[in-house]
Amino acid sequence: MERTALGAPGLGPVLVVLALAHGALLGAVVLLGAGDDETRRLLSNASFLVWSVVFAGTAVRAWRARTVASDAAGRSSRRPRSR
Amino acid sequence: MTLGNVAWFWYQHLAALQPSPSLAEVGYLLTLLLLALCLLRGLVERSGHQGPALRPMLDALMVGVGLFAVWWVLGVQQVWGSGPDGAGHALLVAFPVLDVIVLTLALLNLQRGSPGPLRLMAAAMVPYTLADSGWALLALGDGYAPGTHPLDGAWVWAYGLLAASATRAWPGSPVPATRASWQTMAWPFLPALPGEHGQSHRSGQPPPLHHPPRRGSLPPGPTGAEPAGVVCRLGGDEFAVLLVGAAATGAGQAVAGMVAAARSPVTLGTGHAVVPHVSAGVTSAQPGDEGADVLVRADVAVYAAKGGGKNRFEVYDPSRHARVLASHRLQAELVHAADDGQLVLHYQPHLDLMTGRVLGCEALVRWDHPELGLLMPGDFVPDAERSSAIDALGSWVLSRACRQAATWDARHPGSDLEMSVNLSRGRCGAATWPTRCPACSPRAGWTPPGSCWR
Repeated sequence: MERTALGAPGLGPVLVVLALAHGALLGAVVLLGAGDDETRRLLSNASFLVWSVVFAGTAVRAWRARTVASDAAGRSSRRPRSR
Repeated sequence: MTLGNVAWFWYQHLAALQPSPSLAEVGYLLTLLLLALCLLRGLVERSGHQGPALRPMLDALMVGVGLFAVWWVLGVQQVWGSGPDGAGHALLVAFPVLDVIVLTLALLNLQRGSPGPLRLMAAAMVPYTLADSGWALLALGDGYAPGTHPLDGAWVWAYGLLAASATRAWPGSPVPATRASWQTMAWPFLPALPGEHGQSHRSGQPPPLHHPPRRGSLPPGPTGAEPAGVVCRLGGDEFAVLLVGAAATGAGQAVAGMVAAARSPVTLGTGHAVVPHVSAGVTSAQPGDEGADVLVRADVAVYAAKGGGKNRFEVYDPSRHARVLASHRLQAELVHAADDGQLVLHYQPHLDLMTGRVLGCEALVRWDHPELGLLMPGDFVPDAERSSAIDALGSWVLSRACRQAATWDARHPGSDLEMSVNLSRGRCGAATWPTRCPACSPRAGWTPPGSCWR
């Protein structure tokens, strides 16, 4: 299984499935003209906002996990000053 | 991306504004630029040892020109010819143009077999490019408003794929080298350990415990019917002993006895007596364990025994495992670090405190690891010293430091700067060191005024 930065191997596929389903649903709602314009506009913009926040969250967590992994790999603030 | 969407949401629903150009567009453009940089980095890293980044850049340029021609005919041309004037016009064109650049880099990453995160990023760029280009075309007509076109779903797909890509470890995270090396040297006849009834859990075939090549059977076990285990030579002076059944319960004592017995002097055919040193690692296995995994655990224990002073045995400790794997991985990656341009030298000046004059400097090696960041010598030199990589590392440091000293000497004649270089103990006594550095040779025009090797 491919290594993940978050230590959660199943999270990536779950996000992919959720995003594909969400995007398809949003497209269908727009195509079918469900609801009024304002509702669809809010739904669309909220979708962008939610997924960009999810992206930011995963990116920040991955960055922190990577930092922790680097430290665990032997990096220490008390390392020898020079070599 | 988040900045752009937050700003967009603010304009649309909270502030009731529609400025153009806006902070949202700045965020979206930054998203594309950052994506391009990430994908370009992936390309450069995948270029391996075949030279600098010029080749992937040229590839990207060629593919990009082709894709851009298609894109121009399909959409950008209409945007360019019919769009509004000024900044709005430039923005409408900028998005599909940047999209095609990012898509080009993404396709090249896919073609070069990039790992998980880049594949997902490349996949995300397909709906992203479609949505952006569609938006630019729609903006020419009646304008675009969210919720008016199914293309909105494509953006959601792209954002989701990008979020999924962030969950993946970044390139430079290969399967640990130890595992690969063990798999290549592991017994082919040990795909899995036998189950309770002597059957392999994986293959359903009984493990060929009786006549494998390059191995011998231990004396019969307590029952007298089956051998207590097998001995196999892994290579060189490394052996593996597999104890099964009742013999395995006393494995610790058995190995301790082997280590103790091995300390006895052995007389060779030449008449010389030698005292062999034995380091052993002990681990246990459960039915269904992969043979390769068991060997890795035993290897970890052997390393612990060697690190603890040799001539001893250690029982496998899981807490050591991660550290040993990381160490092996660094050793494997260090072999190519210099060729990949990941090693850098930092120079620490030596000053005369009375006059403030720079007397020389000390060359300090750093490893700009693509995944772990800037590593200090303490993080990788001990690993290098346990492998042959230390020789190449020392030569690289010496050569680079001397070249730098020659450059400074040419730029500031008569400065007589000293260059201090740290060499690994055990290898610095060799008289071959100076000859390995072309910059130190008289032909290079630089004679070290006062090299200081530590």
